[in-house]
Amino acid sequence: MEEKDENKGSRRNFLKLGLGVGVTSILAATSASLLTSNKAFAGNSEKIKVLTQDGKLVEVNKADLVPADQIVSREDSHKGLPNRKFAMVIDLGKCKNARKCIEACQEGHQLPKEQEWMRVFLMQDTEKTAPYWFPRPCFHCDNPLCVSVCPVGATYKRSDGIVLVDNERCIGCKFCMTACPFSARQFHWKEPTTYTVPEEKYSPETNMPGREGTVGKCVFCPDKLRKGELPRCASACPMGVIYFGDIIEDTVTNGDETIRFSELIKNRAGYRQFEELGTEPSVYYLPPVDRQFPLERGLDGLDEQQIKKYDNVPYIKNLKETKDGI
Amino acid sequence: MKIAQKNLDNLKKFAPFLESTTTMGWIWIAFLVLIIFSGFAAITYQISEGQIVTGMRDYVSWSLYKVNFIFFMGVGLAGALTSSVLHLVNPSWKKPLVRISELMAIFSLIIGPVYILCDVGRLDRLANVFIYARLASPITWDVIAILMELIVCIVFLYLGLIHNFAILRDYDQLKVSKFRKRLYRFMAINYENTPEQKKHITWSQNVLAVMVIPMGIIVYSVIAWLFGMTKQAGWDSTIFGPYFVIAASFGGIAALIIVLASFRKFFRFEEYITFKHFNILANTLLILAFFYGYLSFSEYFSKWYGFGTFNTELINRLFDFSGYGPWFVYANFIAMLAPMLILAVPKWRTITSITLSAIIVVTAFWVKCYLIIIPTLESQHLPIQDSRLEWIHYTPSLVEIALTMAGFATFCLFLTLAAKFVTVLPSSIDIEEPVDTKL
Repeated sequence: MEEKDENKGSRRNFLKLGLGVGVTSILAATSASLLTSNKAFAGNSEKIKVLTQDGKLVEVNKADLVPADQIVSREDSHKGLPNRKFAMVIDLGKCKNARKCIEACQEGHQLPKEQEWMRVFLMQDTEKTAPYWFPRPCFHCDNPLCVSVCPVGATYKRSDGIVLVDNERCIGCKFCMTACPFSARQFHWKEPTTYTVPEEKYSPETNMPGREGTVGKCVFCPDKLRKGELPRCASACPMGVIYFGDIIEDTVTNGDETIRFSELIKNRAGYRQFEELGTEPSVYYLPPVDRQFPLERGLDGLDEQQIKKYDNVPYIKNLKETKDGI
Repeated sequence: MKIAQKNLDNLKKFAPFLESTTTMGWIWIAFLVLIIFSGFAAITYQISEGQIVTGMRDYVSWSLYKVNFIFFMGVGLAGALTSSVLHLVNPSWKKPLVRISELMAIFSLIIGPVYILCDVGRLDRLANVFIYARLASPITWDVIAILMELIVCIVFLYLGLIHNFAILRDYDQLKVSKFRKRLYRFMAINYENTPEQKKHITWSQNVLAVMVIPMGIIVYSVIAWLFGMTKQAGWDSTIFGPYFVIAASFGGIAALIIVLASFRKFFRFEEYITFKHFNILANTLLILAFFYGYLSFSEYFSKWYGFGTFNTELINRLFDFSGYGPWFVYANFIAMLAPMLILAVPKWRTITSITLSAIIVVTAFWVKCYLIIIPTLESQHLPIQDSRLEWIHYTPSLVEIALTMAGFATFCLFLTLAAKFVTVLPSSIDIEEPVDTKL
């Protein structure tokens, strides 16, 4: 398993999803050498070629190189990664509610247990239709109502399609929460206690640390994307349910396989949830056909409280009735 | 000539209200202050602990605060509309109604927005609303519109009161503290009732009265759009603006009837506020009941008939008689029928019965505000799958109830104190000869 994870990592790097990769790796290599032999370069005006974030090759003094700041400031977080338009494709046929995406997200963003930016619903549209597991991140809509209604511009849409929340500007009016048709937003009802990140390291890209009286939601992990890695949920999924990629590049990957986005959507009849609402989500779904697991597998390992969530789903009701009958 | 001398008889009659307070009056004021203090305690607790102390959670993230907000803003709208229409139409019987409806409007318009402040998670960042104002957000429209309406209404009320302040300033026998005398003098801004002064005031009042009507409608439509602009089931409606305006006028006129009846009873204004006034307001209430019933019907009938997936869930919730059903019937059917049944038969039309139907309508209006907000938020587009019961179903917490009661108590206290400070019935003491002004 571990080995597999490592492999995933290298493949991810190979894919170079985040365009920062080139720069980051050059910077990292150079800064490493800077640290070891700083003095050797002092006074030396040796030039070095580096790739900037917008893809230009430039020359700089090697001595001027410093390690790049890992925290993206509030101002910089408004700019999307250039020439990117991120999208997520979720293959409902593969999801078995392993909840690894939720756990990785909570761990990565230091969320309390009850706060799930990524949620897995047990969907059953009617009693006669088949139930299926339905992971739901923030849809990062292209017509985001949350952004429209925010009175202070604390939530915003970037050029790369990502919708973020600036925790330091948010006034907590909760209008975005009532406006979001997908219930993707969550409020810090009390002072959160789970964060270890210091306040001065706050960045909307991770939305850590959360603050009382402000709103949080899935961010599509831009911190990972900058490093050319997949969002936490996508890389944590053991079934490869979550594909992530770039619509401009027309490529999505779940870490194991890399596919043309347009072909995947075309061949597998991809759709978006609640298209009729007109919000233009960036998250696509592949219908739950050719299931790899029976639905019940998703109930394995859930504690009672977690199962209780799904009590209203007709399928669960039936299941309980038959069990009681026996 | 001093203005007061013209009105000496009337002044003598009204002076006791301004000069002293009865024991019952003090008990009433103390009672109200007590409730308001519990509200202060509640909001202090909420600010220190966070909104976790309210009944709000991630799904139902707007609750009683927004309910009270739209309730009070609605009462404010009706008060403002009544006073400005009366001012413009200028019927002979308008006097007892004008100032009371103005006072009612202003106090509601002051209390309403306070609830928005209770609802905001980060009060310390409130200035952001102005610093980073985004015109695309209905909240920004609200802030602009409400502030403007409040200013216009306060100036409108003040213009009407200047004459009153001048009278109280000039009335030597009025036994009030020196400070209050000075205050009257200050507020009267050297008004001497010269024809020119009178003309200026009437002209300004006319302009403001004309402004108040469209502004009031705009303000309340914008409030409706806080909901109407979203995609939520039950809110995503094109008639929300007019529906809210009609519902608010309906509920607000009923509130005005109750306020008038209270003044009539507790201040012994039987002589001035007569059956005639109640009768006219009852007619207005009756007409609005038809409008309200018509709009309610078309709103819910089309939702029910079209059975959109999200609407069906909401409609089922609203008609669920173990849940919201009885309240839905009360807010939409009983509220509409009560004035019709009680007021349609001339024999049954008494001040008591009119007040009774007004009480039904006003409470129904509050319930209506509740039913517009909470059941919708409990019917999200995606199923609500949560194991925590309090996150699925909203129950108001003590903090929210305390603040709700504090709002109503503040409203009563403001009206009581206003009646102690100025004469609430302008007709009785101000002699206002008609002035010929043209706009």
